[in-house]
Amino acid sequence: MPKQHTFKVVLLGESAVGKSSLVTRFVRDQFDPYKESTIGAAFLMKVVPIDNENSANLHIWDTAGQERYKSLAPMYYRNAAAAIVVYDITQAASFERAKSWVKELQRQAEPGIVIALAGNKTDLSDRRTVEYAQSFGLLFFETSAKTGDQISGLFTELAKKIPIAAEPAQLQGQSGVNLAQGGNAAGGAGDCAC
Amino acid sequence: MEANSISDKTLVDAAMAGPGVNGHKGSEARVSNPTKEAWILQSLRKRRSEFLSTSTIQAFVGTWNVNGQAAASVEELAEWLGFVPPANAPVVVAELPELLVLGFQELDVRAEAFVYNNAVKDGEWTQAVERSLGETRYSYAKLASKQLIGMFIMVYARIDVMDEIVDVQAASIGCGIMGMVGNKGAVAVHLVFRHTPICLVCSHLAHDALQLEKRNAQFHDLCKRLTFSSTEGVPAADPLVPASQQSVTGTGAAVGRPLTVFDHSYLLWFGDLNYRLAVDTGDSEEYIARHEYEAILGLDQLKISILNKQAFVGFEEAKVDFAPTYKYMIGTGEYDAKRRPAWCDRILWWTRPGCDGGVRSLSYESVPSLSISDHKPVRSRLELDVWKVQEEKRQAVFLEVLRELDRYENECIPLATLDSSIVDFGYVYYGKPAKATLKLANTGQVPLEFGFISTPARERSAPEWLRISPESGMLLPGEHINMEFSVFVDSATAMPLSTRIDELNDILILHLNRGRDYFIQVQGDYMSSVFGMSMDVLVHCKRPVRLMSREDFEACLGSGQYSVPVCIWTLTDFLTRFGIDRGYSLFYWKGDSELAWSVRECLDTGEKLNPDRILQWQGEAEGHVARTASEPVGLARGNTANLSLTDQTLVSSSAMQSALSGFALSSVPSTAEALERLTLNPWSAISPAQSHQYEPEATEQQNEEVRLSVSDSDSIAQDQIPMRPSLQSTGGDEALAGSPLPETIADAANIAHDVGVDTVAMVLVDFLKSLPEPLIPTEMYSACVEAGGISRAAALEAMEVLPPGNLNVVVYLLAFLREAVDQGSVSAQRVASVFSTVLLRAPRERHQTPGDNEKAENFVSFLLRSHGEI
Repeated sequence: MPKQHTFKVVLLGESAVGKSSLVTRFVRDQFDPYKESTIGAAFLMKVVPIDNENSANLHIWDTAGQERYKSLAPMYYRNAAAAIVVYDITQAASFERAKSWVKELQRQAEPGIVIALAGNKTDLSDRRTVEYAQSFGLLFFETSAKTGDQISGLFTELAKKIPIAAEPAQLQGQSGVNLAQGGNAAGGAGDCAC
Repeated sequence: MEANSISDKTLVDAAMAGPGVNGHKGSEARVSNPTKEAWILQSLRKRRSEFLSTSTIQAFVGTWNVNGQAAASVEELAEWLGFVPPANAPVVVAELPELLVLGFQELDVRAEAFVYNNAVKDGEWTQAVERSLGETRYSYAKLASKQLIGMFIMVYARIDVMDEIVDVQAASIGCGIMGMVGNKGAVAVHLVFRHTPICLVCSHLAHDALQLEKRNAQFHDLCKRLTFSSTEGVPAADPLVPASQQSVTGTGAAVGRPLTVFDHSYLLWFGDLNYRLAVDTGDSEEYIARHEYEAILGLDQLKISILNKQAFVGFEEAKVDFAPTYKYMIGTGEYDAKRRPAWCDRILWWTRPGCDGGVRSLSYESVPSLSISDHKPVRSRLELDVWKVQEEKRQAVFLEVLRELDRYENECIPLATLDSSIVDFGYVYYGKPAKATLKLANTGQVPLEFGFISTPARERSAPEWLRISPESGMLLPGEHINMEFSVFVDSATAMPLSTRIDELNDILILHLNRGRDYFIQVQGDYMSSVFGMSMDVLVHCKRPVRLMSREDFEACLGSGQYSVPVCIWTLTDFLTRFGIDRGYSLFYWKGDSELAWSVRECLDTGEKLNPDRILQWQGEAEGHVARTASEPVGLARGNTANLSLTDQTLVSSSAMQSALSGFALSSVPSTAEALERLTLNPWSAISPAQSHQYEPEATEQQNEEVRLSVSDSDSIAQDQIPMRPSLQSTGGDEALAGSPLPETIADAANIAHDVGVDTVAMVLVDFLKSLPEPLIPTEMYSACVEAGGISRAAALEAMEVLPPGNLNVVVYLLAFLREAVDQGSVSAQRVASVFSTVLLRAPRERHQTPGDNEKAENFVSFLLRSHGEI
């Protein structure tokens, strides 16, 4: 029985690039091309194997548009071990937005966050306007939630890239005194008043 | 018929794949629920007229077993075809059948034709047929023909519809001798007329009245083996499937699976099927002579086989209203007496489910006047509905159907409304609960189960500082619930918030069972406080904590530290100057909570404690003003609509600023200076007792005392009973015996005190209690308590392991307390009682024993008497 590690993964990207479809395809292996309304599952979990000893329980946050209030976005990606930034290969603007998400994550999110860039809708490659993107040193996949193309590859590779140490633990303190915890660590070289 | 089920399944796959995935191999697009698929298909079928443009064509179908005779004359053939106008009459093309389908059997009955499969007579017959068409010939073009020994099928189309016919294929299967030879079998043609796939089969089955089962078996064999290749881009058998999806018809289990005869909208099957009359009643000839065919058709083996579902199940036939076509004496209209007459030559059709009624017979008859063969030819005019799929409209209907399904499904999904997705507590202070509510209403039509779910950042569904009530529940349709969110920051949670490592915000996930998830943002501005902050950090803070950023906290840890945190100095300094100094009693009376809050704010913000303000505090009156004052500057924030700040008393900062003058940060004194200020002042007891009573956190023993007090004096309201100092002398007070100390309730009541001073003393005690870890760490508790039961020396020894930082503070506090005792502001006993619960805190896992509290008090008494020895 492999050891299971829990990681938070956030999905970011312009609306209508297929974030929800991507997750639904991955978690439930479903795709409803014409589905008007969606149930709106925004928080899904799926376990993916990492290696023989470890598996990752991915808690996937599909922010479903809330992140468009830019000031709220940091709350969504806080404590996230990984982020998937999605764009639509037929929508150049969505790629520009994706790039700015990547920059924001690199600047603002937890330093160790694993970022994957996903160009979705390869099933519409005849309408492609974004050429195969430079990967910017990130994990990069071109996917199709419709056909399932590269979806599990995306999540599996992402899970493998997350350091196991990124599993949420108590936030680590600094410079010997733990700011986060109300501990009473030995006080160091204070002058004794007596 | 097994073919049907296969195509039904695959066509849905195809339909679901939608446009734009033409030829996409292994497309995974699908509606996952088969019952849903069936419903969608059914709905599409109901509305097919909206996206199919249907028109009607006619087909002439003829079949003739020619018994190996030479081609018939032009006149004879013309008579069979029937529709050909006389030689000089004008040809009205529109009145001609669009399809001309002729099937022959026993075209070539020579033995070598069987063996070498080299029949040659088709050309002869083809020419004869074409000649017989006369001028009409030019209105037709040959689509296909196929010969297998004696069997021959020829299909012509009217030239004006040639463009509408695609994917013409011919096939033949022998099932005669050895089950393979083509003396029996079928020749067939597949074509797609507009978007309607049609299969034409001319077959010759086993002869002899006793071979019924063989005929039935040959039929099934032919159904299985007669196939055509599936061509990409050709319409599928069902008009519900988009025209471009032919290839996807085979997607999944069988990509490129060949088409069977049933993968067509229509299957026309004709020929010498050779079915005879079942039993000889002896009088069949008489019925035939009287044209009473109905009476003996019940004996027809074909009808019986269909009825018994043995062969040709689902096939239809027009009314047989002509004499049996077999067996005649050649050249005559007379039956051959050696054989019983039978309807061997038949024309049947099958329509695909969903295409029902698409084939109608206009005529069905034999042509008895033609006598070159022992069979009479049979002919039928059929009317066929053919359609063109209007792909855009089909797509539109498909979407509408899905939307309709969606709507029904949504009605079964739990639906709710949440009046906001943000819970904003505004400013949040240490130890002050704040509440807000969200209204969750079940607006769906099914019971709604809801619950907050945990996320990896924490094991609980909400952060430590937040309580949700209820965390889960169920609502019936129309019901609603107010979910209460309360935030409360205490010593367990304050540290990361105060040092700004963490923020007072989080995202909760509210999950509806079988429904959607809501993200709810909970946020508040935590007002950093020395309360709940650890001593290690406090000694480094050189600025008021409220003004420090996370970086400031991180930076200050690396710099030098004070021996005593500024907040402790501030409080003890005030008490020394205005409590002890003026002879007020300390640690007996509860202060004013309103004022206490102001004092705490000063500690956090760096405002200076204003002695005039504090010492002249008028209790309720002042408090009332503060309470009704406007909320603190800057409290009005974006979304506070759903916020109910109950129980939270806020004092306007402007009010505070007017009350408390500025606190000069540069004047933070050194510990040495602070200690110097601990000057002694004579004690005096003058002012009358006031109604404020200090209540330390009650221990079991103290509770008992309170109860005793109440029972002793029922007439006195409980909050007016001064806390009784511990009555049991531990014998450790000798050094202080000379001081005029209050030893009893009565004594305490006689000591002058001031509500302001009481309040500051209370804040000091409360602050020390808010330390996440007590000044004497919990791990030392057991040793200290034990020492308290032994001796002063033991107590001093126990203190040796105290970390130096903590030691500084303890020493400082003891010095202050000793001063207070010396000045008569408080008894040593009282100090021991109050501070034993402040300096020492039992570890959670420790099993407390009855003497522990007493020993802890003794321990503090020992320390108090150990001036200069620690």
